[in-house]
Amino acid sequence: MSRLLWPATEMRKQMLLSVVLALACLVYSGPAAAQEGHPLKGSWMGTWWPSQIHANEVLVVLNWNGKSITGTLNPGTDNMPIKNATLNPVGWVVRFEADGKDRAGNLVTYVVEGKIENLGLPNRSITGTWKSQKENGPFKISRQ
Amino acid sequence: MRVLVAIVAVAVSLSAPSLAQPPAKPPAAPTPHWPDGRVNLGPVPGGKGHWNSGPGLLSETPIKMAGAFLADPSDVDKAAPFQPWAKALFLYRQATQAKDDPHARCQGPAGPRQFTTPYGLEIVDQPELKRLLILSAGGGHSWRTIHMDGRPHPTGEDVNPTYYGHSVGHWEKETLVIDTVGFNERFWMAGRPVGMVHTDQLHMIERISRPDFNTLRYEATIDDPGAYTRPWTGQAFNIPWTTAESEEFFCTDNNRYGLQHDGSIAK
Repeated sequence: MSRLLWPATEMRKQMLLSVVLALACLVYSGPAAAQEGHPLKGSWMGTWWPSQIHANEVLVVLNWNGKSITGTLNPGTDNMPIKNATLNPVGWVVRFEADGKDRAGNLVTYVVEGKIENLGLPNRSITGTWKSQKENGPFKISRQ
Repeated sequence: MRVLVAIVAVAVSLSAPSLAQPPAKPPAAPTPHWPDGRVNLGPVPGGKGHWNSGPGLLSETPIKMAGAFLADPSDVDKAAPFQPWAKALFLYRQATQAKDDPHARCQGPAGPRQFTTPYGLEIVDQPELKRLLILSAGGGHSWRTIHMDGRPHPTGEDVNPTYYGHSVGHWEKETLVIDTVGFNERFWMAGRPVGMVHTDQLHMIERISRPDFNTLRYEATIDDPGAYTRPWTGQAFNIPWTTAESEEFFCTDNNRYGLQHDGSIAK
């Protein structure tokens, strides 16, 4: 048989192998490039719950301009600018606030406080609590 | 085999004098120049050799060291005018024996660290192209381009943060002055003391001279309002010339595991 014409079973095996290898490459793309500057800078994903107002999942984008920490909580959806953000290097304690609205359009001010864990890793996390005027709960995000 | 890997990894991760070859001490000679009068920062035509790196220290004032670490962490303010978070992060990196050092994972030896990375470097002058190349033999065997054609730095959206950043240079009499911006934040900029912090706001000015044939003099000014309270200049240090040719070394071949500064292996 010509080498250009594989039997159907052989072709299926080759295709299956290709798919497996491609998936393996996608799953293992090596360690993420570290961000070694200000520990808060970057995109963070995680959960804050339970709430009647917001979903359990949360996305936080943080930046450092040399003087202040800025950012957005749930950019593109709730789009809440972060304010009064601080990082205390003693214990690596993070605190920030953000103003949102409930379904009735009333102002909801969130206060998040947590601690950076695994400081030296690119996928470090912040674990702590969140609270608003009516709700509170655990808060955990990891750097992406 | 594991011992061999560890030995090679130590050579990569520590900013110690090169272990690549015994330095061949060349005879004393004056600073070489090109026919147009510029200082020659490499071998003379027909000659060979390279800069053998060395234990250069990036510190604003003299400071007692224990290898890559501060002998006394309370001396931290002698090293640089850190912002509080940057000081705490630097001390964390020191206290954890630099176990997270990207350099030990073959990330680029950028910033002043390029001049202290084991296996040394070469500076190649290409006047016809109006540029200099700084070739790092160690680390990832990478290079950096210094544009000497008077071009400005890119600004705004044109800035593409990289390990080595965007460098432009000019001569001030016998000194090469390199101005660099556009750094990324994926590396630690000094091997000694290891763990010096920077941000992508780093603006670095290097002054490089060759006071005699066998000495390269290096000094870096760090202007990074993201991590420091004011611009500061590290004490100048010397890098010795060796007549041996630089050899090929690829960190990625030999350093599959990050070796921590205490000798244990971090995977």
